[in-house]
Amino acid sequence: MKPLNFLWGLPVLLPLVALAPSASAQCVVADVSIQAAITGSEEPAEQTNDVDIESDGSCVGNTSVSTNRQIQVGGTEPVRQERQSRHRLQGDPSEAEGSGGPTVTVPVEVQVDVYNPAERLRR
Amino acid sequence: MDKQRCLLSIGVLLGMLMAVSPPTIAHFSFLSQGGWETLLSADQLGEILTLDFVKSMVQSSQRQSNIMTLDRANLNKPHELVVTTSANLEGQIEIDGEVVTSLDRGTTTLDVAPYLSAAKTTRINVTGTYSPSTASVTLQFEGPGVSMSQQSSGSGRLEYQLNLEVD
Repeated sequence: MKPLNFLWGLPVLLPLVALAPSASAQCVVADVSIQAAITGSEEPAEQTNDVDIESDGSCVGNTSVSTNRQIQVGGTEPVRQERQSRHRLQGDPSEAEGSGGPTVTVPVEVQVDVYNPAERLRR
Repeated sequence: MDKQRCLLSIGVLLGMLMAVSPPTIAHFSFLSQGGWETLLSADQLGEILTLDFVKSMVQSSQRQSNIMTLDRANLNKPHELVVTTSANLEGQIEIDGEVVTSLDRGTTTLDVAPYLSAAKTTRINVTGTYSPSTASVTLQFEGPGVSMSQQSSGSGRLEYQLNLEVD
């Protein structure tokens, strides 16, 4: 038997190799919000950050990143800074078995509100 | 050898017949060709198109929105919205439901001051798709004393709303 004949076995082996679970990371959601107001308004700034992350079960190889910065400097009017952020994450279910895991979420929120009376003298 | 040739010619003839005029073979059920969906019953289709399967086809998504207040005294000054990306981006900027400009790779700059007016909220929608989804899209809004920046990455789809409230 010629050794070359063994090549015919390749098409049978290929799907088996493809089906083997590949090592890949679980899903990651990073959500960063920075809201800062430095104004001459005596009323405190209205700052809200509403984050909603949805990811079901085991998830593989998907990432969702959002970085948001809202800055207001100066002025004497009341300040409103609102933010809404929605993440929907879907991993590859065929890959999820074994190598997946719960989604890692990294929410970061910073809110700064500073009253600067000197702003009132500008006008 | 002759037997093989005979079988081959019959096969070729049948094949040609199927290709040229399908109606002539319609009553031979085993020869007729139909779309894959006609071969499956509704129940079988339902089994294949399960929620999980459909979900796996849907990429992840991301939606952001911001509300910011602007001073009416500054309306005559520029308020610039800048969209920057190195990805292949296809999208548009809508202001109060009207398409104002389209987006593509590189930098798109738009002065939104002409669309703002006192005691009114202006809705700016930035939508589109980008590829590869691992790339990022940066939106920046810059006005007198006010700034916003939003960087999104991962979903391949851009859905952003900026609501500008003028006192």
